[in-house]
Amino acid sequence: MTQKNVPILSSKKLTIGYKKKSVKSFIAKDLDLELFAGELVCLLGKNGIGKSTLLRTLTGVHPPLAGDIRLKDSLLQDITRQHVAQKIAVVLTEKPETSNLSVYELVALSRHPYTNWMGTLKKEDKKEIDLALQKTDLTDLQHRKVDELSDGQLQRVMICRALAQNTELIILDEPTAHLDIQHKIETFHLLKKLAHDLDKCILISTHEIQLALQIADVIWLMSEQGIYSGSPEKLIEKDHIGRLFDNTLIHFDKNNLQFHISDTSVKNM
Amino acid sequence: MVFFILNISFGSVSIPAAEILKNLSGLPTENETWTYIITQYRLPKAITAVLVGSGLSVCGLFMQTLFRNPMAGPYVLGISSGAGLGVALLIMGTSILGGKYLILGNNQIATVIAGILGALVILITVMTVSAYIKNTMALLIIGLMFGSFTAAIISILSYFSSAQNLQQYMFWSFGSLGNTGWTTLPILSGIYFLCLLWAIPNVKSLNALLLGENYAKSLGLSIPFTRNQILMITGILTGVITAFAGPIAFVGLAVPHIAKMLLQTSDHRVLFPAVLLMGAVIMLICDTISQVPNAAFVLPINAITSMFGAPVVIWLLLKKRKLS
Repeated sequence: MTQKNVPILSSKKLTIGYKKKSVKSFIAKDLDLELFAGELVCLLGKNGIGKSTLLRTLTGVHPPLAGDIRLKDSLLQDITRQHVAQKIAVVLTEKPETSNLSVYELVALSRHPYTNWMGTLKKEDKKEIDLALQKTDLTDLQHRKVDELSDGQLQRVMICRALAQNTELIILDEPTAHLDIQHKIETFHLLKKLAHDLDKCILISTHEIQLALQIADVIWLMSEQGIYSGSPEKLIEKDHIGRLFDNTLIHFDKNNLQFHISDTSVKNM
Repeated sequence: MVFFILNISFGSVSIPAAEILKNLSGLPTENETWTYIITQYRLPKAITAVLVGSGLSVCGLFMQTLFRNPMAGPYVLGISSGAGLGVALLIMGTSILGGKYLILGNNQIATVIAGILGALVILITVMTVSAYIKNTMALLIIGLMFGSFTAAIISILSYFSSAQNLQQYMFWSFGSLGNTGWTTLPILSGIYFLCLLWAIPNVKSLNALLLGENYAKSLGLSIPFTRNQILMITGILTGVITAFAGPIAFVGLAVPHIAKMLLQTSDHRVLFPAVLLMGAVIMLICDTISQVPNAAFVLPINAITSMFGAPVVIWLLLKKRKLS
């Protein structure tokens, strides 16, 4: 892990939320966040807390209400969309409805920010695509049509596509939803391996708290009070994990990293 | 090219293909009348068929990708109806004001402008509605409603307009490739080529749109910019074609699907030229059929394209049950 000191992406006093006419509704205030190369960062938080809004704000798709986001030294809002596309790749929750695309063609679309006006693939583009296919173990599937793939394979293709975009940062919104436990673990392993082997920063939002605590380098814990960030060990030790959910219903057991239905709520049933 | 010659060859007077080749390459033909028929009528008509067929097919391809909807096309979404309404308002409006209107001749430019304006109005309306309603079927129904709405306005207009102007409009609405002559063909082909030139830089963006708007955005694409450009191109092209040739059904919808099925790809860099070629060929075939070789009458071109296009749509629905 080189260059630990320069974050790829950082935010200062970032406030996120929505603005309707002149009424602002805040989701989180004064966030100071940093993302470094070679790290797998997991964003945890309950439904509706604003994980997706945070990710959309960090990628520059949604405007922040206040504060700065920086990509290395430059402000995100000053960079053209095409240039941002060379720095940040995303994997979204929506499925692409592509009837006739092959795996290779879909992955090749990631080269859009680099290719000329005709979208011609150069030698370098093909090299990036082949490398991404190889890293995600999709070389054998590259000629298959996308709509013939299983959910697990499709998710791997979408990760491969983000990888071939050759960005320092990859942001994934709930990449393991709809997958069974084996594919969930495979996905986490793949992302961790990509972060470490290729020295990329990978930020994902997820509900798989137990898996995230075991595999992530850094956890961002999003609650009504803001975001706590730190290594999984630190957050467990300081009892932050338990704050994710309503304490009267759920109890977090530090020793075996499990959530339990709390005794009081069982009694009240 | 073969279809082009065949198309010129058939008609109420049958002309041997060899004579056509001779004529086109500038050599004298056996028969003076043949030369006249070829240069003054059949050649411009064949060129119009090529422009109309390929133009509408490209519009269909672009709209299917933009709307992310396999049922999108200039005719089904009511864009052609919009152009029809524009033309109807012009023809019959002048009639109500006491004037006479002839589609052909100098007024054709006014017809074209009315057609483009009508098409753009409907296109923007459909686009706005589709931003709220993402459902395929709903969009289709809205297109149908625009069609009915247009028909209603036209019947009201026709009630008040003179028989002569009404007849003008009826002939226009049957669709005809024979309305263009050497004087008006340059307008059609000029706008056609400008639109195609404008379309070429958008081919790459259309490929990015295959992943959906959010992914396209993450690839650095400006969605409003791309969307507006594609809307303008399809609106103008459909408008101008419809104004010249009347509302031509189903070509724009069916040809892109045939191309996608045959070539098994969604890559617009392949589909764009393929659709141009196939649209032109299919339109030439339809027009050749409509002339009923050696018969003294011509069938409306719209009847032929519908007979070929409607089964394609049904076949599509059966093949891919899921159209959303």
